Amino acid sequence: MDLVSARLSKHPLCDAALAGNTLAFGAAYDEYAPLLYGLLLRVLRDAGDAQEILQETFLTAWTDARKFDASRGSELAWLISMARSRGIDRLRARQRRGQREQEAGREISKVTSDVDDPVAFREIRAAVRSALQELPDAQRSALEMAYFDGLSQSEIAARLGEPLGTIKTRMNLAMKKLRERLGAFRMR
Amino acid sequence: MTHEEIQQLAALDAIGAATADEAAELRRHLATCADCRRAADELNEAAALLALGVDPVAPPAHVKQSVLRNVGRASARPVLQWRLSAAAAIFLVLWLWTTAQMRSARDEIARLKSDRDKLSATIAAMSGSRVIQLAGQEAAPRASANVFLDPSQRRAFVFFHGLPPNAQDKSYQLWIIRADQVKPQSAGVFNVDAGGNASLVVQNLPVDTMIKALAVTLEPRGGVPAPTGQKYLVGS
Repeated sequence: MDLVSARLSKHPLCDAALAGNTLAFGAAYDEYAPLLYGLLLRVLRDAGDAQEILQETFLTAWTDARKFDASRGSELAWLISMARSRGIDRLRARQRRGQREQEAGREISKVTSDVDDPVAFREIRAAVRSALQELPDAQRSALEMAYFDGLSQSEIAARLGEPLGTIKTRMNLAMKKLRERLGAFRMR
Repeated sequence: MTHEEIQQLAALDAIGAATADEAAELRRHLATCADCRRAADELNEAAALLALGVDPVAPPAHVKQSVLRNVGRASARPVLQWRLSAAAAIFLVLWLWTTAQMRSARDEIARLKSDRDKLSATIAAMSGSRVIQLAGQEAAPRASANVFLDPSQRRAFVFFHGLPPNAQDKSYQLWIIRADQVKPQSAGVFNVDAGGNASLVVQNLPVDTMIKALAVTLEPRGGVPAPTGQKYLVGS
């Protein structure tokens, strides 16, 4: 078992929560928080919102640790999905309130990343980036619009001026590739 | 729908791009198909890891402090605190109870000692003494008293039993009715304990032969010069 799958098969955050061990929970927070905060900044483009959702995600992980099922995926993926879907919900709520993105173009001032990322995460990061780079631009941007910006198929189709079927196909091809490269990380 | 088509829906769903209808269709199929469920899990895992394509950014320290403060408050501790305060409350109750028991035991010991002293004085005095028994009257039929006369010392030891506890503003008063006087003479004022018992030492007793009778009445607190209240005990 290599380093990555060894790390992904562990679930230190849920273990700490179930044991009621705040010290161990804090240590697991240190590993995951920069990664989730980076994601939330990318999705929300607002530090205040990102910090709020980050906090909410960890509090939910603490109370819902029992719901985590290691047979269905890694703790890392569980946390990311939780943070992402909460982030997207917040984004949509904000858009409904009519603050529609002039902000969309606004880039978070690049924070130089001196984050002490765990080695296993750095390996996954490298694999994700190379997998994304191997994708044709059209596939990659359809994927990113859905995942990071929370756009629906038809919104993406409208934005790109492409037929809906084409968008679906692109996203399917992109996901197939990612699944081959990343989906079975834990089972290797 | 074929498994292939379902897995295409699963791919869209993993990145949040499936429509509500597609997502519902997918759930229905996954509920009964283990192969597609495994495929969907892998697609979800792969989609989640997309987040690592973004640079990690260290969040401000106050977020961690707030998280830890809240989780500390939210879970194990309240249970522990509850248990501790329950334990403290039980301890306090037991301690108060024990203290009260000890105090009451000390009081009991003091009372028994005092009774013992009186009793030994009585026994010492009883040789050649005369005993007058007082009987309960209508107000307290079950009451009684023993008066041990000690003529040599011109004193008497009196033990009362079964009198109703007197109110705060009342006292029992013992009267001596002398053969040579019409007016009863006060021999002392006393209160009874919760069990209706009391004892009294009467000094400067009249000469034995002059004592015609004794009586106890209930009077205003501190006693009165001449009896006014109801008779509780009488004897001669």
